[in-house]
Formats: sequence, structure tokens, C-alpha cells
Amino acid sequence: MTLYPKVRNMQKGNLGIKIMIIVSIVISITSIIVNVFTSLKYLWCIIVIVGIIYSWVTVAYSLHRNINIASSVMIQTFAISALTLCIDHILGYSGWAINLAIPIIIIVANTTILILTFVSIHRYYKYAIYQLIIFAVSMIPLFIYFAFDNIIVNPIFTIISSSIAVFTFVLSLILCGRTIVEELNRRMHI
Amino acid sequence: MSKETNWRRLDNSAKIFPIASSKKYSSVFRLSAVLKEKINPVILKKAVEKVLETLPSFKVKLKKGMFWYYFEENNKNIVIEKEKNYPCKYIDQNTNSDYLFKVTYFENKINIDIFHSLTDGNSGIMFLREITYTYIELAHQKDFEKKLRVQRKLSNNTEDDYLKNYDKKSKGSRGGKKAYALKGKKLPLAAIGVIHVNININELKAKAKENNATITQYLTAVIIYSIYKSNYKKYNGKRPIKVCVPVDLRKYFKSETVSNFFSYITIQARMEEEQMQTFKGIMEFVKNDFNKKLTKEEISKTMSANVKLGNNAFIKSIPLFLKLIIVKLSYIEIRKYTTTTFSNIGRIGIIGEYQKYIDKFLMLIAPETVEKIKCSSCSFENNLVFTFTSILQNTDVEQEFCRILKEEGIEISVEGNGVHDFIS
Repeated sequence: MTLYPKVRNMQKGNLGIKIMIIVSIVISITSIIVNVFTSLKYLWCIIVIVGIIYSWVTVAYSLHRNINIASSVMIQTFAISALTLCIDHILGYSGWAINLAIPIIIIVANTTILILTFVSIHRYYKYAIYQLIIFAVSMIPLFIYFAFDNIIVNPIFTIISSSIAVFTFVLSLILCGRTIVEELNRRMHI
Repeated sequence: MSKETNWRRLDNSAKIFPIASSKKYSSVFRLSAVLKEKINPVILKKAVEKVLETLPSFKVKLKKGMFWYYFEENNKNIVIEKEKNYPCKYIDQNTNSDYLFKVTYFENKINIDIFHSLTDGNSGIMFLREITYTYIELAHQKDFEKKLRVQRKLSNNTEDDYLKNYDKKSKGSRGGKKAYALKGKKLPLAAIGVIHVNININELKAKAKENNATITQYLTAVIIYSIYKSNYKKYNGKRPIKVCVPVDLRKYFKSETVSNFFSYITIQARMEEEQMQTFKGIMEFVKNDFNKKLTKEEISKTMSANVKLGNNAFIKSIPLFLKLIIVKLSYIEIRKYTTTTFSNIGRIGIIGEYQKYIDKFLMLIAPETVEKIKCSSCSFENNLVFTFTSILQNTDVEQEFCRILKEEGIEISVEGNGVHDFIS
């Protein structure tokens, strides 16, 4: 009787991932070279690279099994917001990212969390911490609007998105306030 | 775990493992039961599920908080797999239904790889023993009709008994020199070599008694002498050979907890001293060092120092992401203070009716980049299985260990996982 199996090479990496890494590097380097040798008026190669990084963040997070759907909403909120800000800056900054795109992202994120809460209220404790983070982030544009001049010049979407975030948060507090307190208690225990 | 919130804090020892662990430092130990029959995976799954109903403290997942990790109830289906990897590998919660232990089987063997945060060796044995009992009952239903099954008393107490028993005023002795680190080429591809030395326990007991020593003291002396002869001398070692011996605190303090409740003593052998050149000399030194360090007072000092560190208000208030960085970096240094670890779990007692189905038990601890070889042992009936887990290519220490035992007149036999082509 043998006690142990013969172990095959357990360290083989995923070939698909390796190929994708090489492809990403090749595309990034090619875009830099083409950008440098054509025109440097717009550094569009940075958009390509940031786009690739965004794709990798999404892929890496999706490959991580057992992920919480609310945490995906949170990660996508951060990643897409960063991507739009970057594109806006590279294209000469006209402010569409902070004035329009990010508020829309915030509206979508808060609405998704609200739907998740209604659909599976008994599992709300899983979403609570992510909703708190999304709520905190959702308030940043409103803070920028009141704290700095000339950054948010068209505040209508910011006000709408902040209002939706406050509404979603208050509704969650009313429906699942105790769950939020319990979740904070366990997450913040010292 | 409170029903309302379904979570619990990690005990004082458990706190450190998820922060310090990585693929290279898994903090996993394995307990195996080798039966006299082939394992049926369907029955094994049923047995594990049944045991988890009676021992819910093992039915948990690890979650990240702002300052510490914590356990939360896990209601996912348990995964039982055929063994296909090396033992004591890092447990990826994502591929293990979030559980902190992994159950595998191979031929006649049931393995449980346990992440040390969950529990220590003593409670791990209780868990394995319960799974083995339940498996035998399910596999031999005629022999174990419900009325004939032995009712077993199991504890579900998860209290942090470190906090209950530590001495706030105690001052632990710290420091000391760095330890000799075993030298040699490492095995490729993250392989772990396993060598089990089956030892006749009566002969071992007699030999230990002849030296006025316990089995743990005797085997510790053999380990030190093996390292000295096969590695230390060859590489012209300068630092002391330090063997870390875990101690079950339940023997010293009243406790029923299934959480971690262990401490350790470190036997520090300065090999430049004249008496340390012979086995007899090392034996005498080990006995004296054990007698000095294995007292309730000394153990309490070590335990209290560790509890005070984990209980320090400043440390508690450092956010977890910073703790991860600080502890990971400091652990690289801390580990340099031990040459190897030897954990003797002792005799595994089995109820009479079940004994005939069991061949033996095994215990394995994960080796790592600094402690390249780790040693463990457990005994069942007349057989003590001493296990080496190693990431070194050569088996000089293991061979020297066997040679010494043979020379001492103790009957042994050797088996392994085939990573080293070991010659007995």
C-alpha cells in the first residue's frame, strides 16, 4: 500500500493567462512606439495602457472565485471612474468625466446596490460594508463641488447622483439599520 | 459563536497566522488516519458533514475586518477531493468553499490539512478522530447499529483561553542569538518531501528510560545530533541549533477550548561546547534544558509575553493592511530564531471497538524557506510515526536520524511520498 500519490507538476501556470500577459505587453509597447513616431499632440497610448490595466483589474477580480456581487460593483465604480478621468485628461480635459460620467457611474452603482438589497434583503449583511464605501465615495463629487471652484461647472448630475446615494443609504438604514450596525461591529472590532 | 451575528474573534495565537501566511509559509499542518480499508469518498463526505453538525466551530470562513481577521459561519458544501498535491500546502479558501481545513483521501488514508488559525494539533486530533469514528460507523453500519455507537463527549467551546490564563505582570525573556539554518539545495517546483519513520514504541520507551528521559526529550536529542552530524559540521555551522517544541497548554491550565491553546519552548544547543560533541552529552543537555523550560512558570512567561503583544492597545489599533506589511516583514526575521520545530502530539487514544479498523495516524507540519525541515510525531498502539517534512533535496538529516536509532538498537521502518528516493 502506498501512502501518497505521485504528484504531477503543480506549479504549471495558466497558459492562457501567460499568453494574455504577453499580448498586453506587446500592445502597450507598440502603442507607445506608434504614438511617439506619429504625433505627440495626444498621448493616446496612455488610454490604451489604462484600458488594458482596467481589463486586467476586471479579469483578475472575476477570476477570484466566490466574489461578492456588491464588491464587484464597488471595484467597477472605482475602475471605470479612474478610466474616464484618465481619458478626459489625455483628450485635453473638458471636464466631461467629473461633470457627467462619474455621476452616472455613481447613479448606476447605488441603484444596483438598492436592487440587490430588495432582491435579497436577508443577505444584506454581505453588501452592507460595500454600500457604506460606495456611499462615502458617492459624496466625493458633491464635496468637490462645495470645496473647490471651477472643477464641477455643471452640478446638476452631481446633485442628482448624490441625492440618489443619500436616498439609497437612508432607505437601507431604515430597512437594514441593525444589520449595518452588526456588520460594522464585526468589521471594526479591535 | 453567537447565533445573532454568527461570527467570532480569532484567539490570540490565531490572529498571527492569516497575517503572516503566504504560499511559501502556509501555516498548515496535516493529520492523517490510515485505515485498514480503501476510503469511500461518498461515505467520507457524509462523515465530515455529520461531524461539522456536531462541531460547528470548524464550520467557519476567514473574513477581513478593519483591524483583525475574524471567523464567520460558513454554510457552503464541504469539498472532499482525492489527494493530488503535496501535503500542508497553502489552503486557498476560494477553491475550498471558504473552509479553513481541507479533507482529502488516498487509498486507505484520510487527510485533514488544517490552517493553524482554526485550531491547534490537539483539537485537530479531536476533529480527525471524530471524522474517523463517524466514517467507520457509516462504512460498517452492521457493526455499529445506532444503539451500539459509543456516545462521545465533544467540546464546542471556542473561548480564547490565552486571555483567561495569561499573567499581566509576567515579564517574558526575549532575544537570544539567531539559529543555525539548515543548508542544502532546495527541491524544485515547491515540492515537499515526506519521510515517515515507523518506530517500535516499546523499544523507544525503554531507550528513553535508560537515559532517564521522556520520549520527546530523547527524540529532540536525536534530532539535534542528526543535524549536527549531517549538516552543521559539513557546512561549518556557527550559530546554535534551536529546536522549537510546541507545548499543549491544556496540560498546564484548565481548558476545554477547541481554539488554539498552545505555547512553545525552544531548546538551544550551543554546539561549540565540548559536551555537545557526543550524543550522550546532547542527551544530558536536552534533559536539563527541558527541565528548566518545561515548567508552568516558564511556559506562562512565554505565553503571557505573546498575549501582551497581541493585546497591546497600539498594535490593536493598527489597520489590518498595515499589520499585514509589518508582520510579514518582521516574520522574515523572527523565523531565523529557529532551526527546526518538533511537535510530538503523543498517543492518539481510540475507543476499543474502532481500533481494529485503524492502522496508524500521521502528523505533518509545513516546512518553509527558513525551517527547511520540520519534525512531528504521534503514536497509535505499538507504533510511533516520526515524520520529516522537508524542502531540501538531500536527506542527510533523515538518514542520520535513522542511523542513530538503529545504532541505539531501536527497530524502525521507513516510508515516504517518493519525492526523495530514500534508502532505508
